[in-house]
Amino acid sequence: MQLSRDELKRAYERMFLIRVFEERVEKEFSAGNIPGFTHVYLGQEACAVGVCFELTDEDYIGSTHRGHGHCIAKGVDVEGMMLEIMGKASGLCGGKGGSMHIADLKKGMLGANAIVGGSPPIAVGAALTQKLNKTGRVAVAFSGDGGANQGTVFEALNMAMVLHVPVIFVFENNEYGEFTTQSYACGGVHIADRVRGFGMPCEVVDGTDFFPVREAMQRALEHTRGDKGPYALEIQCKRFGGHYVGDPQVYRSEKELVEARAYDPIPRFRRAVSEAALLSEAEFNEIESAVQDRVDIAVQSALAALAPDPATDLTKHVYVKYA
Amino acid sequence: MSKKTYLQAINEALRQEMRRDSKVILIGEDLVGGHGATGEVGGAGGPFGQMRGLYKEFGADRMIDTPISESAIIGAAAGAALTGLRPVAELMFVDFVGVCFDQIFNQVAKFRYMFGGNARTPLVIRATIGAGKRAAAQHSQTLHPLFTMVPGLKVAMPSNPYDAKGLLIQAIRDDDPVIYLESKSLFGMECEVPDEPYRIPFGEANILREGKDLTIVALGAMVPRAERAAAELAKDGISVEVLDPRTTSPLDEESILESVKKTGRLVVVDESPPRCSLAADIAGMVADKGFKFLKAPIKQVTCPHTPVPFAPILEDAYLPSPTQIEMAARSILD
Amino acid sequence: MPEKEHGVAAEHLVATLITPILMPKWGLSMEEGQIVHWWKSVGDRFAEGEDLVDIETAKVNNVYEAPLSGMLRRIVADVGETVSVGGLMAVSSEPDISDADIDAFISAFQESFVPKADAGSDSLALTRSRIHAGGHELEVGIAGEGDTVILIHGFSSNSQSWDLNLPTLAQRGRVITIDLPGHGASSKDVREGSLSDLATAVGTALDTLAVGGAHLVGHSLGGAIAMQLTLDRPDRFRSLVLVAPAGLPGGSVNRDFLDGIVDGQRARDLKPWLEMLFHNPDLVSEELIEEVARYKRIDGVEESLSVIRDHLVANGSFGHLANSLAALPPTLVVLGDDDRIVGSPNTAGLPDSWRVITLNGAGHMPHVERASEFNDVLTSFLDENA
Repeated sequence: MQLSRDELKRAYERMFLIRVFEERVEKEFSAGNIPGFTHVYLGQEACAVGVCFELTDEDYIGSTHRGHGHCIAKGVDVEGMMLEIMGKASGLCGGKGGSMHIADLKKGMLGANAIVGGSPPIAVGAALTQKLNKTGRVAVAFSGDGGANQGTVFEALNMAMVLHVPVIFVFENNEYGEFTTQSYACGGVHIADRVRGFGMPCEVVDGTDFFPVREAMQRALEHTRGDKGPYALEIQCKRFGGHYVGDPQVYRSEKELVEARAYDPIPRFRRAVSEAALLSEAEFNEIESAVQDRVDIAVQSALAALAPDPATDLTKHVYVKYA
Repeated sequence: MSKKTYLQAINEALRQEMRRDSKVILIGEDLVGGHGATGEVGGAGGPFGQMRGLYKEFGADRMIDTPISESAIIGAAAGAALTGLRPVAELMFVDFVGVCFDQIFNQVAKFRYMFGGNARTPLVIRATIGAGKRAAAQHSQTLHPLFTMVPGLKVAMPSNPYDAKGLLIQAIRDDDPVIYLESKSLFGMECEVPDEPYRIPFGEANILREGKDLTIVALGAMVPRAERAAAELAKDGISVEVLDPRTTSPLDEESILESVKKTGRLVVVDESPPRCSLAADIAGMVADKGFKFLKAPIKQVTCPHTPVPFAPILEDAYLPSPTQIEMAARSILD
Repeated sequence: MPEKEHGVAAEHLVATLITPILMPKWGLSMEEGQIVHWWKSVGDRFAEGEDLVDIETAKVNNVYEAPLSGMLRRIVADVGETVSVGGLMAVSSEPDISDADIDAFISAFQESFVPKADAGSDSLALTRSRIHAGGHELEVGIAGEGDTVILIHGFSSNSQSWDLNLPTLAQRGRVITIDLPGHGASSKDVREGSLSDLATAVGTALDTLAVGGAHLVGHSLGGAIAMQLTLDRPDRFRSLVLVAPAGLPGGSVNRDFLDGIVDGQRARDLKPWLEMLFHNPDLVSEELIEEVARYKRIDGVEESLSVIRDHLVANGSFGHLANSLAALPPTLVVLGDDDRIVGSPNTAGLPDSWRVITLNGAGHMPHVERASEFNDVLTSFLDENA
């Protein structure tokens, strides 16, 4: 481990924030405070935080329908997120986008994307901007094992190679695309094999542990920032919950659900760091309590906030200027 | 000022905007052509020649040749636009929109709204449209209604070289995504086009001919046909106003209604199958907002509800003809 | 045989008693005109010089005055119809000529009439060139030879605004048109855009052309520029003609008009302001509106017009002109009686030597709206001072 104590604190804080935030989303959803449907990131925290750990606000990510974790890992404000998820006027997107479309361009977050396989082509374009403007920054395209079967993703992989742009494709293989397993839906065995078929380096990484994800991402960044072209990671992880909040998951056995929890990245991180005596119990507890407070405040604020006004907000922001 | 073809007008607009703003890039299939081959790279300037000479001036960084991969073209252009470039993407034929429509209507068109006004997507998607080239069902369509119905997109359909240049420059400088549809059958059309860059604002109809008895609204390649019909009708003393909306989104409803108020009669000509066409859209708008001006029913002249056929005799019958337009007009005149 | 000969002679005789009324050629580029309104009906008598028919050309509508006295026997071109230059619009004759003879005359005319293929480019066509003048590229047109007249157009206009005057002027001598910086085919950046900048640019162009001893004619803003230029180079100009000029004592500049032209984005926004230029707003054709709209769409035009506007309305921008009028050469002022752009200058305060003519039924564009009267007044003044 080459991380400083501050960096370790930041990593834990981000992962724990995702955890608490998503559990709270489930709770508020059940309480009827969140309209529509929402997909939570529980169990995959190490992926987002490991991938985004070294990224700056000037690096871009494109996300998925399960995007809260990516947002938080990229530094997006959780209060703005909770406001948005509850459809409030002061949400990050003015209540126009909701859970599946949270974006924060100032943080380099190009948007959660409710179309599976939607983000990779867009990330290629964001990377093209970095190449032409010679910024030294990169774009990261998140997609899942489900997205790995979309034609748009193959097009993006190929285009990235042809245009030689600084983009990193991250496939979060959480074993399920909606209700169906990756083993059923994937021709061939490994996503990584497909990616390598485009001539792109692709590492397979254990996504239930923060440290190997971060290290793989460091290699990916070195490669892309060194103008060596695109890079990919297949990050294997566990989806603790259903496809969406409220999914009864009749397709998963009780046993499988319990076993998935054994791969929880958060206690694993805490254990490893504690054993190495890098952070104390008190320090962990302090982080956790601060995170709890932040999420509490975000929820209280979001519950109290005003909804958008149909008279002014419904037709606003379709265009920069129309006619 | 000199005479230029529609094709030259497009080329000049691209060249002048690329010179003016280094953020403007072109991306698509075979804009350059010949990469990796044994002959000249960039000699063709695209299958129709819109990009002739641009590769030599702007090089591979700004003239980006892609694989045949429309989703990635539009998606990459969208991502580039979101992050500060002003890409002009090309779908060689609008028919290819089928393989990348998600990127257009779910991504590009919605970023600004979904993100609560916090995004700009200054992207132009150029595509060629139109039947009459014996190119059959998958290379001949005129799909402007498909784009027009999507909130967040703007749609321009130039009907002459002057408009082709002015609308394309406006499209490139516009901060919203614009679908710019080039009528293949007009590529050789010639008229006076200023040498300087100029912009035609979107949503401003062009009145090509003033009249008082009847209004013909026509779009794209149908405009010259409407003008021919109007000239025929004039021989019988029928005074026809010909109006080209230039953009279908935004649509200059005000000018259309003003014209119908003056003439009381409306024929709408649209190179499109009849259902959910722009003809139907404009007819509906006038029935809704200008019914009191009408002295006769509105007539729509469209293609039949069929794919575009190949055999020349069938394709000629498919397209609205000046005679059909003239007959439609006569049918609502006393 | 003799009978037939007699018949031919009679036909010929009848034909001389019938007068065709033909589409006139106004301006260098006119190829055809459209009938807008007949002021006389069939059977009406008219006197020479009476308003006969309104005709729309590519630029502006205008009234065609009867070229002779007579009776309108037949209208060949109805309202809305387009007729080539030289084509038949109507027929005049005394009432004793029969309808059959009129019919025969018309069909004989129409059979033999061939529109001039080069109607738009006759021998008076301007020779165009571009001249570098202090950072500007100015478009200059030259036609004819001899005593030289220089024409300076007004704000947001261009040299084509002289189209109805050019044929007359090119016949009497040499005529030079200059598109002002920011206008017409000249480069669009006007820099400071002050009166003296504009005058200096025009003066530099005239230096390049080595023009001396010329008459200087300026319309509106062009009038103020002409005054400035004449003050700068008092020996250079033989005479000065100010057409509805800006900058005379007691005159004003209509700020709303300037704003309307500068800020109007769409053709329809420009229409009311262009109508304000004329006594008869119907004279403004869609083509003229479209021409101004096209000009305004060009990169840099709006900025340049707005810079010039700000100078025009700035306090005291013309004050120095009013104080120096006595220093000017022989000067003719032509005004419209209904000018809503520069108002009514205090003509009583002008130097005694100046000649002031006010054309009735004209707005801010007397040289367009009352072109033939204007041309007469102008040529006789120029000839006196040649």
